[in-house]
Amino acid sequence: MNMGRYLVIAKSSFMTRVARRSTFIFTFLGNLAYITVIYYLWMAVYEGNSMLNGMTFNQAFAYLALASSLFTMFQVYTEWFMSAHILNGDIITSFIKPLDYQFNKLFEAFGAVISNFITISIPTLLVIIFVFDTKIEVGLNLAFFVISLLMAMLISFFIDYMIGLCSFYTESIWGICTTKDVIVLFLSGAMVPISFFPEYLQTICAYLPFQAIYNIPLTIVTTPGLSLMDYANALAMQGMWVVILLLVSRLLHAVATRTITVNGG
Amino acid sequence: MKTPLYYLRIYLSIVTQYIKAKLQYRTDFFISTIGMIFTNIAGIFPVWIIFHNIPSLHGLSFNEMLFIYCFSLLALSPLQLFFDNIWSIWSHLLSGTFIKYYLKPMNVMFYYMSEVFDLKGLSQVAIGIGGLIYASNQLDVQWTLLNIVLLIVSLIGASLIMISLMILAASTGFWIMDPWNVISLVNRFRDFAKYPVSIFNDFFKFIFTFIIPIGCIAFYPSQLFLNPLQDNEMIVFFSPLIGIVLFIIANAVWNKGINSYSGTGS
Repeated sequence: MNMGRYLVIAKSSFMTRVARRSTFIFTFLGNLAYITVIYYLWMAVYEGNSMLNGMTFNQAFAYLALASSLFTMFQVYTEWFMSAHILNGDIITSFIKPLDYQFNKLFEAFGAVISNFITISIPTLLVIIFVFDTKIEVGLNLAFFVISLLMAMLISFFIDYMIGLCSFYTESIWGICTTKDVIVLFLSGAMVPISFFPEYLQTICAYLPFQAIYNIPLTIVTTPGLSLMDYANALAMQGMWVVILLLVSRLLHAVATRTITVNGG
Repeated sequence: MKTPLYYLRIYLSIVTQYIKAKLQYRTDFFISTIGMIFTNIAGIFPVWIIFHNIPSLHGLSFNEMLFIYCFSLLALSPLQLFFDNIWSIWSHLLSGTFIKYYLKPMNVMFYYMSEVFDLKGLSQVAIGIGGLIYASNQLDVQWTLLNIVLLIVSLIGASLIMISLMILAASTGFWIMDPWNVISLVNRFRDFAKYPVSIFNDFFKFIFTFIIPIGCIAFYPSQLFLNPLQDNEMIVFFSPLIGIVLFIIANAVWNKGINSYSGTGS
């Protein structure tokens, strides 16, 4: 496989995103508002408790604030672009290129994630650390956090990609994407840390891939004193989901593209 | 003379055609409604989880939070049902098709918004009413005639707040052409309506009461029903007024906007 051509795709996707500066400013402002609200909400939750479910206020806030920052980072609208191209037939131009369609989309998403990271996540992170005075442990956890983030991005991409494939069967993509967003946000722990869930919901979440997007990387970065074994387990879990979802999404791709009909003209 | 009755008649005939067209796509209606129901249930989910861990949040019980949330769903429904075309304004402004709304002898905002009636928003009304009934049963809220009148009046006032903020956001498009980012930013504030303003410090309390009055969407007006009337602060009674004042401002800005929008020239 020639990596060079995919890197060009990533780069051009990066440049396209960076060109739209006003998007960053408004997304960043939205993040600030959201972080402010959860700060006060969780202050109220921790009123009279110094520790809930093994998390201090500082840990819970860092977890949720980082989650919002990751959410905007992973939001690259792969499924929306795919569905637009499938519905208007442009997808056929991607199929005739000497590129693997899924890797093409993956590197596009990767370029966009990097641009989101630089322009939205880093400023948000600086605000979390300096304005809200949140302590994030600096050490080995950061190295594992980066690896974990990369795998989280892959998992998030494969889920988006499978949702995008739905457009081969239906045109009503709004409902499907919205439902997906809601399910991913909840069962991944992005709205409330998973350790706050009731027992049975935690068990369900453990068997689903969504917690590997937010809960695993966020637990790695906010929990002090994890052993190497813990890190290895967490990363192995993510690795397993990456492989499973890669295979499933490629299988679905093969099935879905058989149904394609594009009108000539 | 264009009376409200004249507008009502026009609205009904436009919306009837719209609904007929939409009913061609039943699967879409079905899937979108599921999406809407998920989104609405999602709104209360974090609160529900939080209450598994603590008995009360800043003095509020789960049922009180549920009441406030369902109140906010109802207060945000008119925006969802009647003003959903706000989300398409960027494409009309950029391609120049917005100019067609100037060419009919009626109010431009009315004509523009009448083009879309968001059917899936009906599920939000249903969830809002259902949740409100459940929560008020749990809380022993008495639905006297006075309370029902108060509920309707405060819902109308509250609904105008988010409608006005979204119109203000959309109006920026007349000057900056593509208001999508501004609209999405303002839209994010609608999620905050369900939280009690009392959790904030004085600075943000002031902001969320007077500057971006999302506290007046659900938290303040629902105090009318959750507390005995005489125990409330003054702001609780004034919140419907804030909606009306904001709408007058938003309407004025919109009108200024449509006068300065110059189309695309082709």
